[in-house]
Amino acid sequence: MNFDDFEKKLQRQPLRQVPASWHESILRQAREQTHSTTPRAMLIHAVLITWRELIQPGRYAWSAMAALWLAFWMINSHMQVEEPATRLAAKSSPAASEQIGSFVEQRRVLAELTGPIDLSPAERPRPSDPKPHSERVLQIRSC
Amino acid sequence: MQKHMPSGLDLQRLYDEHAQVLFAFLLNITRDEHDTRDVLQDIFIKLARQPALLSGARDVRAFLLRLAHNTYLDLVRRRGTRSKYHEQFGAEQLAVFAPDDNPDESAFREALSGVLGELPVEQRAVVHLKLWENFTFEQIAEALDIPPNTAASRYRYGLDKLRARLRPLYNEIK
Repeated sequence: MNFDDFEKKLQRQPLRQVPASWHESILRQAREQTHSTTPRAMLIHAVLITWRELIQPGRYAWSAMAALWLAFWMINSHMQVEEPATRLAAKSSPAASEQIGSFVEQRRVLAELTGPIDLSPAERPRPSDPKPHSERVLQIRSC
Repeated sequence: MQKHMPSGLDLQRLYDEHAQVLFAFLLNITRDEHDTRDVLQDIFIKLARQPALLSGARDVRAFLLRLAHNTYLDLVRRRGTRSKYHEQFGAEQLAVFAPDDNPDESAFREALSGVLGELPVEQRAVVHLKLWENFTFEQIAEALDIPPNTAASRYRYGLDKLRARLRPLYNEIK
């Protein structure tokens, strides 16, 4: 592709020079990075990169998710605390002890009516003799 | 023009040979001197950390310009939505060209810098690489990760806008 006069005119425009003061500072910082390759520095760098690339761009979404998770966790832990407390309350209430008493009484009466429960192991079923069905089939086939 | 990298990474030499090219390109696409410095710094930190990045590069200058473009895109992503940031870049009035004693030339450069700033950044990057780095459309396509036809059309659109806006001034000083 050939350039026309206008393009040539644009090409002739000299671009601005890079500031001389940048040279030293950019190279110094770059060299410092090469020395910071200890495991701790790498871990910090990984955390920073994760923060910069993953968390920071969607920080509101991450915050909302964290808040939601925290709310669920709090509700869940609150419910777990409540459960033994209600059990304890049920134990100590007079209505519950009455119910337990009547249940024990019912079991005693049932035991009197049915007699002692035989706890001996049940007799194992006797293994049945093999039936001659298969042999019969063979006899029919041989005929 | 193929420039091969020596076996060991010499940051000093790399800076001396390529910082000017990267600076001009980044200044034109970011339209901000601080961002240009940040991206240039990031590039040299990446190279210092991973010298192997350059080992497979056939053309170091083209590779570094590609790296510069990608690092710039990372910066844009970090700062929020791309379109919003691009609008901000475009609005910046910044001297991309060296000053000149001749008032006509100086006025032309100022106007050119301003009109370049009005182009969408995608067109501006293509125009820069074509005019001031003398890249082919294939090289531009590789550097910016776009198809060559897209590079060609972006250049045509960009140049048409520059021509339309600068024609009066250009005819005057021609």
